[in-house]
Amino acid sequence: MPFGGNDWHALRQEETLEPEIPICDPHHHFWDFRSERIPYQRYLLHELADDINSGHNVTSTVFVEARSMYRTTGPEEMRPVGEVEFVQGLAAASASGLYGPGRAAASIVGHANLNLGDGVKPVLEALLAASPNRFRGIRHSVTWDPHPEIENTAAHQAANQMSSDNFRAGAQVLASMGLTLEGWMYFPQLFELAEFAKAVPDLTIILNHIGGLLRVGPYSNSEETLATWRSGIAAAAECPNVVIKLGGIGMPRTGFDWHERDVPAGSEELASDMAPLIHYCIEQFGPDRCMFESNFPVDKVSYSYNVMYNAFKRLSKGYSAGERAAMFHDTAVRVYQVNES
Amino acid sequence: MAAPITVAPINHWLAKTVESVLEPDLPICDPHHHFWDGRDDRVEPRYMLAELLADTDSGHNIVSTVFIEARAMYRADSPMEMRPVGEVEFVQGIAAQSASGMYSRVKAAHGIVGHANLHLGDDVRRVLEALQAASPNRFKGIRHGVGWDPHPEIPIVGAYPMPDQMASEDYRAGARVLSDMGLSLDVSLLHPQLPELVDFARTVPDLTIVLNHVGGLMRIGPYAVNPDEVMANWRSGIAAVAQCPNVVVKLGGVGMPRLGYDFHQRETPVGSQELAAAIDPVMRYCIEQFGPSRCMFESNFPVDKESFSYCVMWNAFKRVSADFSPSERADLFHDTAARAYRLA
Repeated sequence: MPFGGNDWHALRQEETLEPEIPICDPHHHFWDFRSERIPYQRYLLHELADDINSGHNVTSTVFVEARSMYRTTGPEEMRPVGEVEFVQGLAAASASGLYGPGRAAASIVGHANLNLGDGVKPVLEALLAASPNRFRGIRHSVTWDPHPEIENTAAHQAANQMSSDNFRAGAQVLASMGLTLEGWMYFPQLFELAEFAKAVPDLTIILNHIGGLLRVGPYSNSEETLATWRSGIAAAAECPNVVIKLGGIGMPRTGFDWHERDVPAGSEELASDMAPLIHYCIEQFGPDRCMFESNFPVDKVSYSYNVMYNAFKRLSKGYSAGERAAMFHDTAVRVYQVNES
Repeated sequence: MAAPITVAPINHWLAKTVESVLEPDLPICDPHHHFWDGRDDRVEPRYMLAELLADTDSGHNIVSTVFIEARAMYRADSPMEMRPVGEVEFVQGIAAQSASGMYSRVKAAHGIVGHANLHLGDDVRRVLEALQAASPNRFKGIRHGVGWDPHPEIPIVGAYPMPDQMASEDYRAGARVLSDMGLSLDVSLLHPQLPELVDFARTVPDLTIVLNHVGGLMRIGPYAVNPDEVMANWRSGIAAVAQCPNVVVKLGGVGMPRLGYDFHQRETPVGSQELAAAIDPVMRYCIEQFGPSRCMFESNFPVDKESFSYCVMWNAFKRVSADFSPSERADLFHDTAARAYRLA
């Protein structure tokens, strides 16, 4: 039994809870031949369609860059344009209606290297030209940690990127073009994020994966880690231009063992495990600045799409209908200007 | 909903005739194939990048391909005339996937031919601009099929099933816009319409017109009764069209049953020797009339896959053209297409 595969997920079947609630899934990837993402080496439109059509009412999704289908020729900084061109094609296929009522990649987040400073502008223009109707922003991952045990898959591996003049100049260009920035970092960097966010108050920053909580290696001491994470989240939440994605908890670095189980965890257990983390984020940011996300297929090593959204629905039961609408759909649609028609 | 991934049964049948690849180094641009999904009426209901590459990587040296519109992935929510923009967006994505180099050396959909309704007349410019915006680097032109025949036995598959489209004022006005924008027009028609094409081609002398599928030769129904007369009409139509310097012709589409061959009905798929002998008179006449610099071999896949495999087909084209010079063959297999579609 390959861990995390569709056959493993089949061992945990659940009825879909509240299948009518509209969902915009604001964070997933598309790729092919990703050997490091066993068993989801291929995750293209058909694979996503199987997930978003598995019970919940997913009306739209947002693609987030993952170094997929980069061009092999041309200047280095323009190579990520290939990814947006590629995803624009899958979005067009989805918009034909052939794959179900949901609109996949209705908004697209690509990559450009903000360390180019003002020089990032032509790259952003090329990304916009590759998808004039769906491109909304970029992600430039800044994950960095001094401990060698912490795996870092970022393209630009350097400490304190968000503090550099180049990065900030690039971010100003992004803001001036009305585009958004994904903030993907590890939780000890949240304080740096707060500084950065204040320096570019007009830029909408979407903090990924509950702020990059790590509970592996040197961060296994849960109490101390959680205390630091909580104060980092609180600092980021002070910046009105930062919103947060609630998800990514299925990545093993968050410290849960779901991916190692013989039988996948059910949504009740998932909900109770995730609730303290997610409730704290909602408390700090408010539902209007929170959005549930799948982070698929990365998080698929820990739970199926259906079970995951069941867990999100269980742990959000105590919120009002309007607050839940924000967290499942409206915040994402607003931030990414998602066109669902 | 699109069906799950399975190998289409046609591939099992085609695997019954396996040949070694002739002249595997000869560079080929395949200037005519489609992409689609969920087409249960076709021999290969899903034909996307993986399926195309299974064909183009089967031995011949395919360096690039040109996608031709086939009403795929039209936008579901859009004004009618803008729906075809979805197809070019979709194919641009497949081309980007191919250009990542992760799949193959083949530059799939290196050129893209979409659809716009030329009956919009001058107003077609809006649609053409949207198609161009959907693929600033690969969009080369459109196809607006005009196939029509008065006999009820002849299936009309075009989006606009009506006679004399090319003679209409709005169609011609639309074609002039196309010409102004430096784009090309693919025309699919049935061979009795070739004289109408001549008339049309002369009114838009600056427009590059790519005549599909050996000029729409049809030898079924009423056109199967007197094959000599049919061939004579087809030949005189081809000869007349060849007089128009702005028309080039695609050599292929001979796997479609309307050509009158029985390849699709065989127990065992045809081999390239027999196929070459069968199509030789048709291909040779086109080359004679147009000259190699205005001819390009095409696969018309997966439509023609109903009759033969990709490998056997190109073997047959290589046999048919064996006695042409190397530079004439370079035109037929690659250069004419690269010129007509302005491929970098």
